[in-house]
Amino acid sequence: MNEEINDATWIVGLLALGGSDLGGALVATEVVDDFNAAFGNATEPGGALRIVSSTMSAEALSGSVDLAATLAFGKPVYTEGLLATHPRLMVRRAERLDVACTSLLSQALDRSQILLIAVMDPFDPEAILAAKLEARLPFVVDEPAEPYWTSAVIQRAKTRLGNTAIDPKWMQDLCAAALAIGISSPRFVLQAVATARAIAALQDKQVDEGSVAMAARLVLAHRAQNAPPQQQDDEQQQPPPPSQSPDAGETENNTEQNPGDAELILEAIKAALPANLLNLAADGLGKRGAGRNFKAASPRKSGGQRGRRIGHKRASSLAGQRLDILATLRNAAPWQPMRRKLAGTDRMVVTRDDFRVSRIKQRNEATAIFAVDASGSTAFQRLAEAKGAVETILAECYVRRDRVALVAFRGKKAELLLPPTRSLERAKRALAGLPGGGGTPLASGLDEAYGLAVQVRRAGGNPIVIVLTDGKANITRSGLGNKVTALEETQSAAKLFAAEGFDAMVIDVSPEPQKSARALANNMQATYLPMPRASASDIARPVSVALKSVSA
Amino acid sequence: MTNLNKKEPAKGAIKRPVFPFSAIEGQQELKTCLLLTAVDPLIGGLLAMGDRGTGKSTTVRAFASLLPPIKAVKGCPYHCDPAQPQSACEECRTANKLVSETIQVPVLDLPLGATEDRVAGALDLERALSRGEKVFEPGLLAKANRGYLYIDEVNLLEDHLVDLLLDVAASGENLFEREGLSVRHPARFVLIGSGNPEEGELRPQLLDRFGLSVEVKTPQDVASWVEIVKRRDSYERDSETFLEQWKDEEQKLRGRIEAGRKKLKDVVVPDAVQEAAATLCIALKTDGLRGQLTIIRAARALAAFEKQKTVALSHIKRMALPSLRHRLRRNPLEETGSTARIERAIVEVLGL
Repeated sequence: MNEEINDATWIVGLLALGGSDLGGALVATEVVDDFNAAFGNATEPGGALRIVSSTMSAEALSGSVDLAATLAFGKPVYTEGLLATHPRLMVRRAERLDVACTSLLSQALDRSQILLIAVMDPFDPEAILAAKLEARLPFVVDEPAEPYWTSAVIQRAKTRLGNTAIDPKWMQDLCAAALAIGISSPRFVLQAVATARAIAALQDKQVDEGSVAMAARLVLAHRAQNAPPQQQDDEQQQPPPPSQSPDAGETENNTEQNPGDAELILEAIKAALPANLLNLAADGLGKRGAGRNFKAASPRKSGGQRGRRIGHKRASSLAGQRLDILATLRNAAPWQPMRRKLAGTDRMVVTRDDFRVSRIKQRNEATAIFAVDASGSTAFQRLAEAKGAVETILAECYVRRDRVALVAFRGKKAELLLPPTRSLERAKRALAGLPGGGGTPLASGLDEAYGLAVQVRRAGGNPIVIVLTDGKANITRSGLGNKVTALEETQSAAKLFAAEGFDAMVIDVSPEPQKSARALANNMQATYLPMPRASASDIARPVSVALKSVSA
Repeated sequence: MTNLNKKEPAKGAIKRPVFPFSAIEGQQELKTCLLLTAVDPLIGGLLAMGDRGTGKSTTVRAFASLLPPIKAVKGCPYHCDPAQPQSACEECRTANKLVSETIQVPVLDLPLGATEDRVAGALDLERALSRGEKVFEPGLLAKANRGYLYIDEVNLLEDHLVDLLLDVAASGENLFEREGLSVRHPARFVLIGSGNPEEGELRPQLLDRFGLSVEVKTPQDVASWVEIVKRRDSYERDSETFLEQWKDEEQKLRGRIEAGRKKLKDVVVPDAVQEAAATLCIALKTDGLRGQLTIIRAARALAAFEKQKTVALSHIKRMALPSLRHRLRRNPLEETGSTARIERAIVEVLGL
């Protein structure tokens, strides 16, 4: 039983054993077939995963009225939802689940009602699982699992699991280790505790340092926000290469209460760390940190099914649409005497042709994308005013439930400071931290804003781009100081906005209105607003009018 | 009336009983405020904002099972109070004889993405299809009457549902005017919302509807984490025994809620205390009078819960943060958090 098996294989065994008590796992698309095969091998017949589409409706999960049967029998017939009928679910392209499904699945996970395998493509930068679900899935599987476990072995382990206790001392150590690597919630320690017990049951022994260390590696390591404190000394240098032996000089710098064991857990975590730390450095933010949350926070629109009803239309198929009962009945009514005679019944006869579904009008969400020039030429004069204006507009946006995004450009390049969000807190923080000075890479700034606007439109929103600059570009896209090239590039970048027909505004932040800024506005086909000694609220007003017209 | 249970197909067996409220480690402010909404529902709801994984939903769900049972009219979909016919639904008001039964206080989850039909109610499909009759089928608002409505991630709630909630919260009634139906039924409930402030803001109108607001944080010391993990682990391994261990604590707390409710109307609020609360609100420039009303109500409920006969300045001091935290006018450029501003004002105004 102590042959070397990889982590993915362990996770398969643990999930087959613990089932809904352990929650589930995130599985990378390319290893999902191996995972399925191994999992199928480990469960008794009938215990396999039910694969569902991420575009299913919430009713498919919770159960709903079976329309066809209801009409056939003349009394309501309900179908049971997947949550009740299939407690082991696998969702492909799980990042596409809508808010309603996400809520239902999280609730079911909280009640230990289901085992959930979320399948995602790790190389797709837009594939981000709702944070709510992600936190409830302890494991990540990104390597092929082997069909190592058999259902007989798992069954035997199941009988042991109830009697496998965990010494409180291990809980203490797991808590200390989790806090040391910046884990945010005790929830994850609980997952690790349950995992340690399951590991011990699989190994047919009591919980010992081996099972605790492995649980920490499987559950806690990938959530680490920072390296263990022992590494603080060399944190400024590169993260340690994966092969480094994790023993050199770590005993001196100790902050733990009972060093021996907590450190042992940290060692196990650290062994799994380097790859993640490299990612951290590359992304500039935690793989599961703030960057992940914002996409989860923006509820996905589901095919115009929510909002106000504005009428009804004939429905050829009902797929996921809301039946307008009254209109359906009204439509069926005139035919009743004839149909009853034909069908030889005195019941109401409703046919498919009578179905009417509601037409829904949804308010389109506006996203204000600010591209703020923080270069030296602006910074010295008007950066503070520009910030003030943005803040005022932000407050306005948040009242109206619009989203805002923030791009800043200075020095050699442009930077996305804030992806679209509704959080005033985050926007304020991003803005407060914006330094000024350096050249004006206007073309790069426009490119960044353009890319974001395209993204917003693709997701069904209405972007409006607001550029705050003096229009004096002097840095090229490649980061070189060349006014001529910079100007040409700026012109071509600006014309893209006109081509796409994006709503845009150029706010001239120089003390006197500048030709360059006006030319930029012309190229973008944007509204031009000079800010001659204007106060922040003076700029905010026209912008908020524009926003209102966009989202109407 | 329609059979409500039929509408909700069995959602698989819930495997374990709920984690006991008294066994929740820490979260003192959240727990106290929840208890106070049970002592005086008129305080008007509770908003709990904090990071993910701080145990907000666990605490609210545990609270549901702590509440003392209530008497309700048997078979009424709005569980009207037989002792209060003036606030009952039309059917109960006009009925000759009401049979009452004892029920658990309804605590309902409003999931994100719920349809308007599920929340406000809809035309009864059964009657419409089988008999062609127009009958109202009550939604979540009806089922939550006299109880609690819990919305996790309330800051992400769709706008049309927020509008609906605002209407109902203001009037205590659900007016359903759609699909050719016109129905009016009582919908008085305590609204509990939770969410992560990093993910979006609440609409100001909705924010104002919450009586109390709490900032939930996870403790950052090993000892509390260990206690949380230990309790949770023993609950998960053997929930029967665990519940048995906490039964007395739960019963004691339940008793205190009931005692507080009885005492509530006899608690005196001295003029000096009223004045102090008003001065505090003026100093903080809170919008409207709701802040002032809430702080007095909450302080009175707290006094009743703690078996005091009069409201003291210390009660005001303790309830000032949850009552006012979300009512300060926000200045986008102001960096100081609401909590710090209130604490400063308490020192300056109340001299405490």
